Amino acid sequence: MRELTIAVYLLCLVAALALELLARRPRRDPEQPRRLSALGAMLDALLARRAPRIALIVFWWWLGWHFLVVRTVDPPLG
Amino acid sequence: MAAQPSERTGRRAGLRAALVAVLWVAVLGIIATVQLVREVPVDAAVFAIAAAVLLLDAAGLLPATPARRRIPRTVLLGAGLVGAALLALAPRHGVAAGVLVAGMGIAVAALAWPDPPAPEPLRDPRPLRRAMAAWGPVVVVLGLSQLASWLLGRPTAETKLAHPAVSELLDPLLDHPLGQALFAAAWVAAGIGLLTRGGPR
Repeated sequence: MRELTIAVYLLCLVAALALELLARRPRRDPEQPRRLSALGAMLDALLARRAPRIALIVFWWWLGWHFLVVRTVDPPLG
Repeated sequence: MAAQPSERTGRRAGLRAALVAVLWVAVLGIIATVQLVREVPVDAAVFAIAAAVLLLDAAGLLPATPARRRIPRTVLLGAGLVGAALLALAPRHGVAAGVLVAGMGIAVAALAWPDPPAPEPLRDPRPLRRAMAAWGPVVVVLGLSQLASWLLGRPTAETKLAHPAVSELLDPLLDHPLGQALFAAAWVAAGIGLLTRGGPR
């Protein structure tokens, strides 16, 4: 089961990398518009609005808080 | 009298902005609830406060903010380097790390609150829509698998081993000084990225 759980995480990572590579692959005709925006362009669009910008900043902050400051691993109940 | 086209466009844009805000408030609310179930009240409170502030802002109940001031890149880079170095050296789970992370979080949120200048309208928004439609499921699957691992792994040490959360997999790496330094650098760089992106490029 552990392997399956880790495989799901790796699958998400591979999917993210594949999407970014797909968005950045060189086009045969540079004049032709891209079919998919890259992560940076997507972030630019999200961060232009306050609600997603602040939500992403709070999540970013929480990652630092979770991994560097407070309990990172929850203890089991039993 | 019928509304003028520009009025209608403005109203539609306002409605869309309110819908986007409500969607992100809901996301923050869900994360706050999960943190509450995890029995980490400080984490839950931060997400809940952010959701409440954004809701007040979307309802127009907060005072208008002045335009965002541009921070010179050298200042950001210098502050980032100092911050990352201090975070890399601060003992993990210690008071100094807590003060640094809290301080940087407050600073980034305060600096990012005013809206950047509006970006140029996209000539073709379809690539962006496709990217959001493609990235959305990846983020949702990762989030749900995290939640499932946490719930299934909760009862005993054996179930925890069988259903590790990403935090449990990364935790041993961060215990190493090099792992902590790399995480600190990546975290600070991401914070600077969140501050500098979003406006016209």
